[in-house]
Amino acid sequence: MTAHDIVVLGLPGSGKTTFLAALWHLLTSDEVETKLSLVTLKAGESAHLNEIAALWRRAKVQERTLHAGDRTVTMSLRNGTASEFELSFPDLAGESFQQMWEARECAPQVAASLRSSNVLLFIHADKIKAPGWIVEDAEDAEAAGLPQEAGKPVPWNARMAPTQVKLVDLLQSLQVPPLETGARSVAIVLSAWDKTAGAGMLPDEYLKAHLPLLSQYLAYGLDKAWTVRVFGVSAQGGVYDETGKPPKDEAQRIREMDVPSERISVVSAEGQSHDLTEPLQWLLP
Amino acid sequence: MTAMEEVDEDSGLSCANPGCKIASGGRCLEGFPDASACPQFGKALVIVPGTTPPPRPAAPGIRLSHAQSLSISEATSLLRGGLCNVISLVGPFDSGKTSLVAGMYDLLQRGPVGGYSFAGSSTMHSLERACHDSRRESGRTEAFTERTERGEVLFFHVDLVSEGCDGKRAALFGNRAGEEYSMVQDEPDRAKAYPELKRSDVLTVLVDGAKLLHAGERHQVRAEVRLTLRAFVEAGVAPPWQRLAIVLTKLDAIRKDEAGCAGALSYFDALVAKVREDYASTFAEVQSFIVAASPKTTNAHRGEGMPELLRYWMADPARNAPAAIKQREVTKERAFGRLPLVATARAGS
Repeated sequence: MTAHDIVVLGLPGSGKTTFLAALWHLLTSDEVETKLSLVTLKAGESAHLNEIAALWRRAKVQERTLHAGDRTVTMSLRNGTASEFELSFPDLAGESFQQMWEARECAPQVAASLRSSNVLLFIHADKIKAPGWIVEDAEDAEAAGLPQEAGKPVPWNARMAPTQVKLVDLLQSLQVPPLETGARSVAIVLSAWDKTAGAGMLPDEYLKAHLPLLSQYLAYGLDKAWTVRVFGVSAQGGVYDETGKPPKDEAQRIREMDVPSERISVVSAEGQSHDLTEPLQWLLP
Repeated sequence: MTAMEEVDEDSGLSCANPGCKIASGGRCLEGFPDASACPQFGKALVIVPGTTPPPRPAAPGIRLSHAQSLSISEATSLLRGGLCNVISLVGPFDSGKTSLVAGMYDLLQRGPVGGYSFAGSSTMHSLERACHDSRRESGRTEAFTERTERGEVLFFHVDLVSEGCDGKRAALFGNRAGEEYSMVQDEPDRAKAYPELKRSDVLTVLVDGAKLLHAGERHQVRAEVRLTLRAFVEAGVAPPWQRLAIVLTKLDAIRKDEAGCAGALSYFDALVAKVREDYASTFAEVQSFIVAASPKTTNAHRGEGMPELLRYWMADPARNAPAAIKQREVTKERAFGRLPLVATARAGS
């Protein structure tokens, strides 16, 4: 059987596990048409997949303890009528990438996974940290006639960097030794897309507006042989219940939907669907 | 136990020597018949903890590039890698050298600047650190820049792509403590030890705008600029293809002082005119800029004047411009060689 691999990247809390949970439900339920279909239920880490998919069906937030650490999920899939193949997703913990940015090192097993030619890069569209300038705060305070509150100076720490800086650094690291591996395809997933859909922009436009440094780097900094496509993905379809907190009306509305797969929304320049396998199919050779 | 601990004996018969048994009814280890004469007697027993075994080393991680400012050797390797403009930032302490680079990088975080787009950087940790104290996360209410430490020159690196152009061009910004450039005024030959100067495509001399507002300081500022340039020229570190940028910093401070604003700006114009008069033939080009790279007040927007300066920094280096070669007539040694060609002779008649 042919084997393909797609490495799943993203900072902590960028939506990687929710995507995998919704994908496993989508592939196992046959509720909507998908570009890739499941050949057999046998999968690497199937217990984990079933566990996170169960939480997803119940509209409950994924608990971080369930997906701590790095793991590789494998699935047997078929692309339309073509022959089947095994797809492996090294699902690396967001902390691994945080460590790459802050400590400038990564574990050997993480480095091995990062040499995949196919990259699924997650960015939480609603939790983008942009650089805020003091002088602009001063302008706002002056316009509102409010005094600025002086705080205690906080020393610099790499963790404070804007989201786009960390992502540019991650992509730069994939282009030079020891992680360089030649041309790659990168599917950028702007997760929690439903929360930002009001902006009325296509995913490409949203990325350019909210992550301008990353957008410039994708256009001019990547090797010409690399290909990039941006997807807006809502794998949850709304707000889910959190453990230990009162249930939410929105989560109840989502649970009441007859076809859970219809919670999912995938937006790209080519249109909108419920098919989470679209970005995966685009990455396959 | 990782720290030394003092133990007081309840009995009162204590000794600082851990080997002494006096506290348990034994004799003084030092041999004093009267234990109270022993210098160790009565002092708290000092327990020296055993050596804590060192923590087991974690599995070795794979090192990635450091993302800090580049050393001279790292900058030299980058120069060999492709198109690159070297920019030296010269000015006394607190004239705004680091703020200039940090301001440019922070503007790129919002989009292309002056027709140039960001295409990468190998010094992102240092750039982020330089920007920190002008950002909200610093907890400050007024932008601040850390003092550059004295020592070897370090370089900030940013790759840029010009609008309508496909290829990257690197920008290397030499960052050295202002005091070291000031010392060149006393000892011009010191400049020969600053490798960034001779290789610079654009020598950027900073004029502290806040100081031009003070009658007592402005003459000193002008003298420092002129003495520094003269020292560089005398030391032979200002090649003829080098461009000179004279940059007035802290525009916000100048605008804030309504009474002194016009005077400071005209003083700067006069300074630029004098530099042009003296050095127009020494440098390939002399240009002046007025900027607010990291304003402390709302009298200027962050990055005012920076797009023009970035375009000047990133222009094709003058050292690569082809120079016209004068045709020189060589008189032929042999009489035959001096005969005009038939066609030339006919045309002449």
